[in-house]
Amino acid sequence: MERSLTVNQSDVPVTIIRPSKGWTMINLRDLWRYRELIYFMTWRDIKVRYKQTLLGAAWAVLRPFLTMVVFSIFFGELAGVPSDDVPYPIFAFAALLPWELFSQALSVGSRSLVQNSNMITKVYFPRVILPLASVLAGVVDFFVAFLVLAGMMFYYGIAPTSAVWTLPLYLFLTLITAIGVSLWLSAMNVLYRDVGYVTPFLTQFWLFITPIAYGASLVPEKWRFLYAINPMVGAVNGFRWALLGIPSAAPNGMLYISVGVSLLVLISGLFYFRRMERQFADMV
Amino acid sequence: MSQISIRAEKLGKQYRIGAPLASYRTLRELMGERFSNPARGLYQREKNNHIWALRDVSFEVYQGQALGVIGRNGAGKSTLLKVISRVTHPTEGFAEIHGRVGSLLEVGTGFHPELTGRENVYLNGAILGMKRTEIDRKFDEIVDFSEVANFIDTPVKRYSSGMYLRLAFAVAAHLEPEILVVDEVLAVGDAEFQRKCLGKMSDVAQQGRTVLFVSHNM
Ligand SMILES: Nc1ncnc2c1ncn2[C@@H]1O[C@H](COP(=O)(O)OP(=O)(O)OP(=O)(O)O)[C@@H](O)[C@H]1O
Ligand SMILES: [Mg+2]
Repeated sequence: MERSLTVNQSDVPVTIIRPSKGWTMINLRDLWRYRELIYFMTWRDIKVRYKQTLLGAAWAVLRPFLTMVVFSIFFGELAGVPSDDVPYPIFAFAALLPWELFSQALSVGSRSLVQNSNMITKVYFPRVILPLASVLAGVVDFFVAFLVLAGMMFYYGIAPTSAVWTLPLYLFLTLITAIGVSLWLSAMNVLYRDVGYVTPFLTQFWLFITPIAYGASLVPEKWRFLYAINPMVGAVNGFRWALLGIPSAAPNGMLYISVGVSLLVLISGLFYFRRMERQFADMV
Repeated sequence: MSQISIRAEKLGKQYRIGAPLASYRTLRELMGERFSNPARGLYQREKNNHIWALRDVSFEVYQGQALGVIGRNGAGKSTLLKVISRVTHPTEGFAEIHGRVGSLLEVGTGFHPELTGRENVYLNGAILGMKRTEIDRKFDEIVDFSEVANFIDTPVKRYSSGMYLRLAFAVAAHLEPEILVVDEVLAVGDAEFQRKCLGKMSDVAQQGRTVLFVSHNM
């Protein structure tokens, strides 16, 4: 708001351009004005991905599916990781759905600004649209993979629980977290290209501290609250609870912690992004 | 006609050039700068080359006027247009813009080689600030202007560079902002098409809108 104060005066918008300093919140009004661009950029990201790859939409299924197969063999069968009275494959797959959405979002989101440097140096638009659109584009993959999960549940004869209506909330929690982290990573990537190397490692590390291959019930009681600081714990538990009704994944105090941290990451991400934004066109 | 369109007062833009800040910093460098030798880090910061790409630029443009900016390479012409179109922030000074700005610092910004001509028209239009309905309405006109109608459903990576440019400029030429900011985008393309574009631009100024453009040859 500070740099580009827009006021309507006899229907010609007046924009004031001046140096900006300090911390400011994202300009929501501007974002609203550019809402169609969010749609177009999301559409572009989806379209390009499906056009450029040989298997297109199949990847959306193959990635989580193959991971599920490997997990089922090594963790489910060989290591005998308990899966709370549900067949291990479906136990793992229900968790892999939000996880794949999240990890893909981090990977494309963190690169979004650098990859579109051409746009950033030539046209004005709210920069936050770039990470936002690249995260949202992953939702299509999520729904494709979701159909496979539905098929698997049918195969195993598992009916969704009555809490299934809460599923969109957990999807939302996943997205909020993914957007928050992507804001941080994409902005840092403009200034420090190391982020490109760090992100895959971060994602891998994050996989281990999230209950994907194992259940949250495996974590000792006294550590659970610390564990829940990872917002993906809340999201993944939510998926297992809403779809499979696993009691140990039921919403409790841990969920509040996850939601709280997720919002914190998002809001701080918005501020950090906003602060760094003014350097993007000069530095990228 | 006497309505003010752009008023700039003492605009200035400072860039940092020279190593290591011009190249991408790595975290190690940053930490080195901060922790290993803080005093030296500070000194280096002072000594780093800063250049003023723009300094003390003041001017006024009224509605319906076309203002040409000329200067040698590196004079700061593109920088001025970037500041006016809000791509980059000024370091000092102030500007007041009355109306929406359409910036053409490059044609075909955001064009994606894998997408078809049709898809790119929509994408590029949206990036330049057009509404979806507006693009729908002008789509046929844009395609006519570009003269690449036969290839409109072909990915633009299969276009010749001239065709690509025509399509890209056709989108830009159908922008209807109050202020049009144009960098040397016409330097390419064949002579006939250049004339057509220049004609389109003078139409724009005639319609009471403001054009701010950069050129090497007057
Ligand atoms: N992102 C940047 N970082 C550092 N310096 C920059 C950056 N962009 C431009 N400059 C410097 O600012 C000065 C002005 O550049 P600018 O592009 O505005 O020149 P110009 O007048 O458009 O030149 P030309 O006629 O070649 O297009 C140049 O010295 C250039 O090196
Ligand atoms: Mg230039």
